[in-house]
Parts: sequence; structure tokens; C-alpha cells
Amino acid sequence: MSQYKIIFTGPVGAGKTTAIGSLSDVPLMKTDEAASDMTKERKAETTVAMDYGIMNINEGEKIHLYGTPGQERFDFMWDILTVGGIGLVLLLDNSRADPFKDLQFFLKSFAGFIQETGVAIGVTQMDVSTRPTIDDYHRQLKELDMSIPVFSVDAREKKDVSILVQALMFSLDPGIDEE
Amino acid sequence: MKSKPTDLLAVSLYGMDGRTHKTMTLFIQGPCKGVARIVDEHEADVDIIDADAINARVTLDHCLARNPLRPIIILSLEKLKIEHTIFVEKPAKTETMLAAFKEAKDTLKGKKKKPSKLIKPEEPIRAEVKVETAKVSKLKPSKEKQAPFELATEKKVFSNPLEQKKTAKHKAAMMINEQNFSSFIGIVKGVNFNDPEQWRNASYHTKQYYQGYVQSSIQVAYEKGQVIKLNSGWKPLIILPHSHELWLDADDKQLRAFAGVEVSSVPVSDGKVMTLSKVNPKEEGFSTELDKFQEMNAFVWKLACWTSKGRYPAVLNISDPIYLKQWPNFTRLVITPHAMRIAALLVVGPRSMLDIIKVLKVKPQYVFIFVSAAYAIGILGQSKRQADQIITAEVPAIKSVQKKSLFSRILNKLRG
Repeated sequence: MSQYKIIFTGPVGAGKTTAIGSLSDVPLMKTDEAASDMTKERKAETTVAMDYGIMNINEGEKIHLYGTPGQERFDFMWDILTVGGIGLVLLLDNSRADPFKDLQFFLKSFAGFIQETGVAIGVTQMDVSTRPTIDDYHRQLKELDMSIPVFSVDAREKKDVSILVQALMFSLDPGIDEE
Repeated sequence: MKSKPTDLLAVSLYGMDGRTHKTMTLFIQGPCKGVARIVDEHEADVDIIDADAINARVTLDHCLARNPLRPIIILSLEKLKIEHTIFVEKPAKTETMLAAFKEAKDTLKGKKKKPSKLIKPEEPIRAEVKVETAKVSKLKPSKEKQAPFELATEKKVFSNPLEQKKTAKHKAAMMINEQNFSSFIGIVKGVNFNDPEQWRNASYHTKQYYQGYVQSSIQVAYEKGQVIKLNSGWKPLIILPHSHELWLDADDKQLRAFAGVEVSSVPVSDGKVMTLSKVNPKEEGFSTELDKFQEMNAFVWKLACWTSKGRYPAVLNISDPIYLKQWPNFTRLVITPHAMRIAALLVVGPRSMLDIIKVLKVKPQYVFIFVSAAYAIGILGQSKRQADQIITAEVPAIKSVQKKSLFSRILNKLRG
């Protein structure tokens, strides 16, 4: 059975859960891991939730869809999650105060994984906040010497999320096409 | 003598706390001789923004997007030069403030700006860009572990509630496959795309079509920083540069039909084929028909597709390398066959159109139409240097057969 996965990341509220839900062939699952200190008196339990979905691509073949925990303080889990990953989908919320700060943070956090695989960026909430524009994001990426797919995405729309993941596939290998 | 109420400029203030707001009001009523009155945002003729306030930039963007015609006065301790604004250095003096109000008033009356005289569309100005040896850029991994970081959770101060009603701007892309390409895009006569010898004849001049006039009008609108209307004898097109929007009372079927027509030499008025005029949104009334707003790049892209019909722009050379400056925003564009593959190949490095056809093994129409659309929205260029004909991108590293097959199966799934 394949262990391939696509990782969805981004700040809280960017639409990771919704996007995975749009693509998943099964109802979305939230995996809860209780991280508790050994001495309960000193530290309360902390629950870390991850979103998980499955895309059935062939008989018996699946692509696992993982959403990173929304709380950035659990970034230690990201290295674990990316093992076996074929690419990264970064969702950014355009209505947040500083989306460029988010962009730089996540690109840096996943730099090693991105270098080995690839990334595609979906910008959500553009109907709520029109700026920065997609061109503004490309200008930011140019300063980082990166040329990445950046699309306006409504995470609720399967078509939008599908196009974003397709772009990720093509950026990994322009030579591929449908079988 | 005090100005009559009807003569007073209606001004709204941003970025000022209660005390500053009151001080500014007294300043305008007193030393500024009451030339203006303070009103709410929706009633104002002029906006005054304290540029030293937090989120001033966001405020400015909001004001520009909400009403591009409204003059904006910027107050700041720093000498600022921001497009489409009138600058007043703090502390504001009476003379400079009055001069700013006069400039704003003149702008509103249209005294400063003369009507545009666009007759012939010109090719958009394309900056020469040096095409360097192709390289694949990758972000280097950070060597140090990043310190724990809590991203800010606050949202922006405000957003534009009307934006969500502009449904045409935010709808998902239309994907055209090879089967319905001809029926959707149309057929061009006189070119046999099955004959490689005829590919060099498969070009078109944007100037001869509505596309050329639209692109030139957009350029004028941006240069002048004002809303303008293109009068073509067909339906009027309104161009809003600040919000990167267009307004057109026509559906895609009508636009597609007009796109393919060579523009008549019969003048619309005053001996001109098409004319430009200034627009007052309040008088025109178009601003209430929100579903007719379209995002500018999306509009120009599809217009170029329908004009091209599988041809490439005559200003480009089919044998010289072309390069893509950035990925197109595919979720909001008409996606022609193999467009994403072509984009993925071109962002790696420059290639000629002939090379792309060969490497990807696709029909020339698909490459040409992509090139036409990408060039029309300014994200594609062509190298001019002879050396670049020799230097082309390295062939992308061949992925393992297993991975290639996996990606193909994922694509199958995604395209459902």
C-alpha cells in the first residue's frame, strides 16, 4: 500500500481543513494526539489535532492528505509529517494582518522539504480582502528567488483545490500528463 | 466670506484618534476658513489619511479600491510620494492644507486632467529583460532551528463587503480540453496547423482587434491613474485601474463573438475608430451592477484566447526563446489544453515555441494560445539576445518512472 502523502499547511483559519475535505474521498478525520506531561500536576494535557483525508487514485492506491496542526507552536511535528510526502500545499489567508509574514514563515519552516519536492500556494479569502494581490505575492517570491504556483483559492470549491494540486504535480514534473 | 454649505468639500478623516480628529476639525473650520466639512466615509468627496497611523497602508488601499475617483490627502511627518495621493507634510500649515484642498477640488471638477485621445492602440510597452542561463531556484534549508513563533492571529481592520458580491471575479476557472477546444475557442481560417511549414504564418496582430484597443486603454488608465471608458461602437468597457477591474455589460458569448472580429475602419466618432472618455461612477451608475465586474487579468486572458484562436502574437518570433515571469493564476483563468504543463516548463527556463511543441508533444495551437494569453497580461516575454538562442533551459531532470506514473495517476484522479 502506498505511503505517499500531500501535506497541507498554513496559518490557523487559512482553510486547510476545508481544502482537504474538498478533495478527500472519505469524510474528514481529525486525529487527536494527547500530549501530556508525565506529571499531570505540573502541566495540563495538550491536544494536537491534525486533519486527515484520503484520495483514492487507483484500486487499492491512496494518497494521504495531511493537514498540519494549526498552532504553530507544534512545528516540531512538521518534520515527522513530511516524511513520505510528495509535495506541499501552502494555504494563506489574505484577510490576515500580514500574509507576507505568514508566507515567509512557512516557506522557511518547510524549506528542506520544499527543496526535495515542491510547493504550490493557495491564497484564500480574496473575496473578503483583495489585497495583497496575487501579483504582490509573486513579487515577494521573486525576492526569495522562487517561482511557485500562486493561485486564488476558495477552499470550499473542489475545482480550485484540484487545480492547485494539479499545478503542484506539474511543477514537480512538467512532462507528466494524464495516463 | 464663508463658503456656502453646497460649496464645501465633504471630507472624511482616517487614522486619527478622538483628540486629533477634533483638532483637525477645528483646523479646517478655523484657519482653513471652513472650505471643508467633516462627514462620514460614504458621504465624502475627499479622504484625509494620517499616514503615520498604524495600518495606514491598509487604509489607503481600502480607499483606493472603494472609490478610485475620490482624491486622497496624505498627512505625514515623512516626505511621502505615493501615487494617486496629495501629500501634506506634518505639521500641516494653513497654506499647504488649502493648496491640497484646492488640488482635490480641481481633481473632482476634472480641471487638471484632460480627456485622453486614444485612437490607435499601441503595442504594450515591454521592458527588455535579460534572460540569464536557466536555473532552477530552490529555497535553501535553514540551518538553524527556527525559534518558536506565534503568528499573529488578528485580521485586517476592515474588508470590502461588496467584493463578495462581485461573483464573476471569484468563480472557479473554466477548463477547456482538446475535445471541446475548437468549439469553445473557434477556428481560424487560412492556417493548416497540421503542416509545420505553415506555423510561421499562424500569427495575428492584436492592433487589428478589440484586444489591442483594450490593452492600450488599460495602459492609459494606469498611466493616468483614473477610471476610463473605452467606446468602441459595441458595448462600453469601463476600466478601473486602482482595483484592477473591468466592467462590461456583456456575457462571454457576446465577448467571444466580438473578439474575433477585425475592427472596422469605419469611425465611431470624430474620425476615430475607438475613443476613451473619463468616467464618473456616480453618474454612470455602473457601480451598482456588481456581477458585471471582472478581474482585469482574467478578462484580458480570455479575450486574448478568443482573439488568438490558436495563433500567436505577431510581435513574437516562433524560434526565439520565450520565458514566463510567473505562474498564471489558473484558478481564475480559462485553462486551455496543456496550459499548466507549458507554464511548468517555461518557469524553469526559456524555450522557443517550437521547442515547447516538440518537448511536450502537443499541438501548436495549444502553445500559441497560451503564449498569446500570457503575453497579453504581461507575464511572458521574449529574449532578444542572439546568445539566448543558444542557451536554453536544461531538460528537467527525469523523475523516476514510478514517480512519474504516480503523478499521472494523481492527475487522472484530480481531473475526475
